[in-house]
Amino acid sequence: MSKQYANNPETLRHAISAWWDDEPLDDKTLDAMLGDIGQVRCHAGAYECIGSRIRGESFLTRNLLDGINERLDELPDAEHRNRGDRGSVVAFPSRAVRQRRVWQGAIAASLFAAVTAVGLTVSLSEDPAAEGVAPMQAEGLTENDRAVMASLNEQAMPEGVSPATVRPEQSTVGKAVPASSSPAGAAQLPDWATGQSSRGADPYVVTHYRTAAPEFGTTGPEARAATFGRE
Amino acid sequence: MSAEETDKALVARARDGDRRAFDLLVLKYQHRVQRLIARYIRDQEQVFDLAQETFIKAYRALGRFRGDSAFYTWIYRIAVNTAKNQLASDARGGYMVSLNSGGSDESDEPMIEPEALRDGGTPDALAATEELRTAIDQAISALPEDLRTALTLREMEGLSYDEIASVMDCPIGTVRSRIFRAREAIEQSIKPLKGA
Repeated sequence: MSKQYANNPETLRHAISAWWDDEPLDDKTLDAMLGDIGQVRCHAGAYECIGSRIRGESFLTRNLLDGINERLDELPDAEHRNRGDRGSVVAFPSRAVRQRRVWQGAIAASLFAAVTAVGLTVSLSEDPAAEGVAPMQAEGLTENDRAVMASLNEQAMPEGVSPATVRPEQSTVGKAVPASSSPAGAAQLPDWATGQSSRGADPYVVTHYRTAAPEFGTTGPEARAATFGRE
Repeated sequence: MSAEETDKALVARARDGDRRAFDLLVLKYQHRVQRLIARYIRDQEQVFDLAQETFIKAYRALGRFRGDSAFYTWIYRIAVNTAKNQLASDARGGYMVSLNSGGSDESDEPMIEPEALRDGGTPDALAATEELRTAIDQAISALPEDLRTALTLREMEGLSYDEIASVMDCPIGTVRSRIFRAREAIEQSIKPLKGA
């Protein structure tokens, strides 16, 4: 407490009364009040009583200072020391960062899905058996032709039909390419093979072409017969 | 320094670890805070608890008080929020507080008359309260007219010293002295009762 207030306690009480009424104070007066909290507390209680009576208010407010100080004493020391700063608060990432991460995740997932889809499409469309199929023979008989002829000879092969090119070591279903025929034999094609037959296509040819070359299945035997005719 | 600046200076000191500075703020505003909370909460003990809680919260949040507003505005806001949170908590717990529309000028918030702080309790407490009232009334009546007028204008009408000086046509220093002397006289007359 400053010397002025120590020598004259009434001066301090004067200051407390003015402070209670929200009047300006200087730093010295504030220091003096801080130096004698007990006196401030005593007079503030009396002033509160007087004011309450004049305003017709209750006396039943309570002095909470002791209870508050007890509670504050229970606070962790670290909190006392760090009061005023933010302490060790872990900040959330900013909204922009979170949105960027979401977009990055979405783009990565989309790329993965696209790559997977392309890979599946490519792998399913590959037909490794087709690599071994011999090209259509325009002239002469290949080993395949001879193998087919040998197998067909066991059945009743219609006269004039050229053997189809097949892979003798595998099933013919889905493996053979459309038939090739010898130009020399074209003149000997029957009516059903040239599309001029009134009885329709030969069931053997229909079955054979639809199973051996499904990609031509929609064209029908007539189209193939026309091809034969051109050849 | 003005009252607002004084409060900010006290906040700054409290933030730096001077607990006495925070004590001064509590001494000045605790009764106002209790009366404010009593407009929301009926239970008297709960009012005291919530007022205490208000100052604890304020103390812990002193670092976030930027001084944009006055300290009393800030502490009142904390008090109102604390009271409202208590009301919400009571409502969730099935205890409904009956509220009257208080017609607050600040908002349409439902508020109650501060019944929690109505004088009452035990017969002894009632008798002591009545005795204190009588003593204060008698002391005020015994005051010289100029002292009583200055004190009444301050406490009843809430006028500043400057305004009282204008009303009473005297210097501010005289107003300050009159109010102080009036309080001293009343305090002396009620001192024997204050302990009880």
